[in-house]
Amino acid sequence: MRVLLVEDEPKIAAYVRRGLEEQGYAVDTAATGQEALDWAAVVQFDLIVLDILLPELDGVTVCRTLRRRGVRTPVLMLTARDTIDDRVAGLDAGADDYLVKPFALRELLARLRALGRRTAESPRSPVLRVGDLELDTRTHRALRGGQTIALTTREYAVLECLMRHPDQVLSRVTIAEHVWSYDSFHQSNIIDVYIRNLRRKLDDPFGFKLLHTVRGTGYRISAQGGGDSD
Amino acid sequence: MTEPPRKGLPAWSVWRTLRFRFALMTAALLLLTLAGFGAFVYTAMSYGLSASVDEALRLNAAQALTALDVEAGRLELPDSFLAGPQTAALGRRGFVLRILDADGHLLRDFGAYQDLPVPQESITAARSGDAALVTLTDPVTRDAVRLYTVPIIVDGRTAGIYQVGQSLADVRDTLSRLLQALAVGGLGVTLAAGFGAYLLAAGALAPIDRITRTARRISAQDLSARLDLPPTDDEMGRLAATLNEMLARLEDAFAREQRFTADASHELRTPLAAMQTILDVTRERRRTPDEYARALDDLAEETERLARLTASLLFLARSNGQDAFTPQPVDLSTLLADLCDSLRPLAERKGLVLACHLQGGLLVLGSADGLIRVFANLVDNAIKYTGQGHITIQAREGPGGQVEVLLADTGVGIPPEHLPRVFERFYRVDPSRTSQGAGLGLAIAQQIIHAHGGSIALDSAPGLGTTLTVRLPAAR
Repeated sequence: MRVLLVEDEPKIAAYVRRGLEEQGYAVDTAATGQEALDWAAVVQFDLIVLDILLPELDGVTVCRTLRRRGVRTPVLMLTARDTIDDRVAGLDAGADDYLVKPFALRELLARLRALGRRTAESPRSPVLRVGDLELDTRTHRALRGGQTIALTTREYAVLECLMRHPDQVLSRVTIAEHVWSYDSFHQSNIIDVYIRNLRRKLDDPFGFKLLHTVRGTGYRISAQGGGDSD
Repeated sequence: MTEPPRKGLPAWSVWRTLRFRFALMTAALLLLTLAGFGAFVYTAMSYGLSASVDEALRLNAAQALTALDVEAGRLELPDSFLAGPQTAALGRRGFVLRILDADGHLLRDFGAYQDLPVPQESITAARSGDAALVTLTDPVTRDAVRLYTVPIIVDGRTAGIYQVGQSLADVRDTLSRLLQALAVGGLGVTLAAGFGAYLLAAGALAPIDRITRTARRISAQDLSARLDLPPTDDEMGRLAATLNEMLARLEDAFAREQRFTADASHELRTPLAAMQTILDVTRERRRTPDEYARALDDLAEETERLARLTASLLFLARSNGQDAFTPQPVDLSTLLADLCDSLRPLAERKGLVLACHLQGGLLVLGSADGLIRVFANLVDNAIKYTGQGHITIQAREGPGGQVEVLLADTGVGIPPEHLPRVFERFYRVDPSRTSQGAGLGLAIAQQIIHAHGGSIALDSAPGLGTTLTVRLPAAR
């Protein structure tokens, strides 16, 4: 999941970013409203965490602008103002949720998970399923055939990205965009490395293959099988 | 007593309305006036009527004395007199004519009131040659009778007494009719005037009810309501205008307070949020000693920021309540010289020149701590917002027994649209909080300077620099 974190308070931005990254989110940060709009124009984020009080353009304006531009990415507003007027203004501008500072990191993560479930193509349950493979988005654990499989942060992020779009072919670029932030992504064949690791953990111990390579296009997760030329 | 919830105007008791009391007062005043006037008319009328009765009696007596035959001690009224116009005039009302001897014994009488007593004092007066007028009550008819007594003087001595009396019933009737007319007329006029006064007062006071309705709509949450009275140049118009001005000031003050509360809450929450995030993220998993050290440093920074902010807020809150300091003579020249020395290294580290031109022996009355706080803050700000060039502090005797401190820098300056608000609490020219501080410094400085009876003003040209002028009353 790729997250845009818009926060002008440097300490909060740095630590929230670290907290999110440790949960497998790919995080890009913006310190001003204009920067946020610039980011959103080039990258399709899965989630946007938006502070309201920002220099230049405030969060409410940024949110309204995003919605006017047709960006449907779920937006979580963060703010230190908690009057009803502030909340109403945020939600009316098109935000999906609202969190008042100071907040607990666990609450932020839970709300982001909830927002992630809200996107049209993903299921409402916090547990993603493809065939007999389950992925718990809360604990980041995969479960297949009654066996718990531990995943690294990146492995989880790649698997989650695939499992949110079951039976669809995702290009390497698409996967990369959802899993890596701008700062950390360098080359697209790194994805192949993670796919290989995931196969070793998820597919190899079991007879039936879920991860499929679509040559020349990308990857797909599916319980149907077929189309695999790897 | 609590009143029930009401729609529009409350069902006030009519006694508690101004218009009713006004009408009542008007009516009472008019009634009093009319009563006085009536009493005067009645008295004048009564006096006039009595006087005319007395006049008629005197006339009759004079004519009777002329007509009287005095023959050998016998006193006789001729029939021609008794049938004459004078007596006839009396006869239309109840009357009595009597001839008595000098001792008051009745000799002859005519007309009604035969049983009227003979008043002894009148006889006594008549015997000594004087006429007398008395009012008696007829024992039979209970009529009031005016009786005129004159001596009949023959050869210089009282030979007999002549009495003529007339009933006062007519006078009484006239007076009682007058009293009736006065009472009925007076009450009628009073009622009409009271009603008229009520209507007039109701008309004049109607705007008050509108003011009441509007005032009821006004609450701390919504101070936007205004009185929509026509702008007339009378008492009501002026009252409405004054109230509207007051409401505008209140709304402004409330908005400022609300902004302050919101800003304060924002400013307090931000470091707290940072601290909580630092703690939450750091404790999420095991960290290296370096990472812990870094997190502790970050926490310390935020704690310090929170402590500074809390101290500033407490200072503002306390001095809002006029936290009194005992004014002491403060040598501002020395104070500023010390300040220059201690802040010069800070300025020089940024490559700035801190120049101080201080006239010696400038004394003010006040708190040395407060003044150090003000000037340290102002100079600190100047250093912060000046990239290159110099900062000049100038202290000198100003006009009107004042000490003037000028603080000029060659910094970024402040755009003119921000100038009116720079002394507001939490106001920041640059809304991004990239710079340190919560925007309380100038507000605190202004508060301290005002508490010293001084003034602080700011003048700035963007890109050229800012000049702050502080004026304090000089100590004698």
